[in-house]
Amino acid sequence: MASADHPLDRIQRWMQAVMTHPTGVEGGIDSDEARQEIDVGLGELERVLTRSRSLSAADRLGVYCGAYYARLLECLREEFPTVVHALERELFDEFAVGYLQSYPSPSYTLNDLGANFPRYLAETCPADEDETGWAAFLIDLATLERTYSEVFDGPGVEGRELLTPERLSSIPPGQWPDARLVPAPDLRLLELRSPVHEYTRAVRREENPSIPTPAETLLAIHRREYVVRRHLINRTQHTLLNGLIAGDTVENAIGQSAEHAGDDLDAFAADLHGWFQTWAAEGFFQAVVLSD
Amino acid sequence: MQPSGPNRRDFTKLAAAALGGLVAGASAGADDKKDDKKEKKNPLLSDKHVCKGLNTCKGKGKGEKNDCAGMGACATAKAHTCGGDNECRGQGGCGDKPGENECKGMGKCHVPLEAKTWPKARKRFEELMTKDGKKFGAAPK
Repeated sequence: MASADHPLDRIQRWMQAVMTHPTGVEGGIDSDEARQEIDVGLGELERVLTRSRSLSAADRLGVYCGAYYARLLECLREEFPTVVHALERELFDEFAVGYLQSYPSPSYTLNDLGANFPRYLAETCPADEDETGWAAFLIDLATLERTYSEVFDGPGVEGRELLTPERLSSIPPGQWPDARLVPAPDLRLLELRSPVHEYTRAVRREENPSIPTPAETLLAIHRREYVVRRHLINRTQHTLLNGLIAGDTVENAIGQSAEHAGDDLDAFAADLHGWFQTWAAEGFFQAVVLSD
Repeated sequence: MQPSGPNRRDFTKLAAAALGGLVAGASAGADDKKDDKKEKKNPLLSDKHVCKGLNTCKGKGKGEKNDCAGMGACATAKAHTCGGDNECRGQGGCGDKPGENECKGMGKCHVPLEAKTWPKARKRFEELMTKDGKKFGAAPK
């Protein structure tokens, strides 16, 4: 295959530049990245690659290019199965190809491949399209599925000691309001415009759900014992968790959330007790830091 | 409700409620972990989830240092659903047939697309809404 004029490592880099170019063989060969390695045009390709009995050098190279994008598309379909369900495969693939052209795979790991897909959908969405809610639904659906991926693949707290009753009980009452809770690295909050999590659940159960009616949907998503879990939360909880994740003190975070909590102090206190109980049991927080 | 001024005493009550909840939850979480240790083994040892994609299968590469926990095979798992509300990702990106050449029919990978995809999405939307008997507005111009 290789010409004796070019060392193997140079041919490998050239071939990678051609294979991964978003416009295909011809564009890849003419790209700066490829030309820097081997300065050859399409008409001279057989100086680098031999032809076979049935395929030209360009056709042979095209096999590898096709396989590369086929694998990337396959990965995106795997990562966004409910977007595929909503759009159907052919249309999803059109979005995915456009995405790969706008956001070529930049990383050694395909875990990062879909990172910008929700952003791409939002960027390419016609400005007046979201009046119907359909575009918002697709973007939120992709956002949710990408978040599941990131939480699943990202760092977590499995095997680590989190908050203990002993540690918490040792906090002097006077220092508690100024304390900060350190969130688990897997804890994520989402603000969505419709309950797309119900749609994903229905699709995974092989049901055929309708597009959900738009409604503010707030989720806390995290991983516990290697299983991604989600919790539907209200605005008060979201504000509180958002403040704590941002590094607010307990006092400030509760103060901010109290604006959404109504006037019944006893009811809010009971809610707080219950929420923090659930969040601690679920492993939302890994430590408490007291101010000096 | 504000955390300062005349409501300071109220806030102290709220903060105490939060701390009480944390203590209760931490106790429950600790008990759960004890149970987990008794009943479960690390799912990385048995779960089907795998690494995504080609390059994450680092264990097969130079140095044989495997950074992908649990990847016995880089392509065994399909998406599966856990019980309840959990989202068991489970699936890898490698698909069922790693290495299988799907070039055939994939020519569109190399054709720069025109910006016609969203209108097709709108068409799909209308199909779904019509199927569900839902009303929808006219397509934006």
